Amino acid sequence: MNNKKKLKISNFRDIEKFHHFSNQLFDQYQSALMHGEYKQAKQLIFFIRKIETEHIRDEEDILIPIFKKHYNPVPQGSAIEFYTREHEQIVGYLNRFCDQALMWEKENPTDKIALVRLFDDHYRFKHLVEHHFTREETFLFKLLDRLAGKFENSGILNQLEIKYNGFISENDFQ
Amino acid sequence: MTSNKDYIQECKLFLQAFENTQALMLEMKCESAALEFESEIEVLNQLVNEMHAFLCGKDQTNKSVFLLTRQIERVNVFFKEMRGLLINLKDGGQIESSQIIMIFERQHLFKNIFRKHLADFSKLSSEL
Repeated sequence: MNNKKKLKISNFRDIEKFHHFSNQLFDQYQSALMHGEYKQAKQLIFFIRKIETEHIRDEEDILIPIFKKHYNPVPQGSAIEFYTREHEQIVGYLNRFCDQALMWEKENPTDKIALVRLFDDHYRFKHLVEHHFTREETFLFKLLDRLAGKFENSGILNQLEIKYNGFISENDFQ
Repeated sequence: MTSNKDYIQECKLFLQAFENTQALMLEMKCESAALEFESEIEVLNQLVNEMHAFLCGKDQTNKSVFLLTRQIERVNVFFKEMRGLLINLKDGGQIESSQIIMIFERQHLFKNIFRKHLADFSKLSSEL
């Protein structure tokens, strides 16, 4: 898939497209590490952290408050703490990957097992992210779409579309 | 028959060697990784099969015996899968990094299962 392809965000479920974009970047980061391209790997993981942090901020500042307002009590499996706790864990992992990438850009790893350990951590991270994205796609986005007409969503969707396409334009890692 | 202590020691050594093959894979040296793995697994496979036969001869209504036997069976299934994956790597010509990443993820699962077996075996083997 062409990473520069523009995303169309017509409803909240379309945010899946951003998740897909972020996953693809992560694959590229892993591939760069495998080829010993540590500078490229560092740029990629810093970029991923930046876009994921902004994406999380949008969810916590805009989407989750709307969700909370209209769904009280929230459906089972969709407690607000689940989202925020997983967000914290995701950012925690990304911070660690960034620190590691920064170190390896300065001094390439001599201990090859360190790379194996990092990929083990990647596996845990990817597992967490998959679980989290599924939760969002199954509950948060789907249930926000059901509220169509109950709040002004077109402005939010438009804002997200502009932001995601900005990330895509910024992405020089093809 | 290998003693329980030796079994644990051999398994730990295998895990170290296995991570070395993973390191080779991550450097895209797939053929070397496959060759190393083949020689390592031959030794361990025999050891694990012996332990399996030993456990099968024990009282399977004993919870610890039952657990360890089933774990070894699961480990054996993974052995076969790991061997297949690495042999494919050796013979498959051009390998994409995305394929390596997928294999690595299966290997991660295998290591988890194997480590769990080792931890349980260390804890329960005195009851055997």
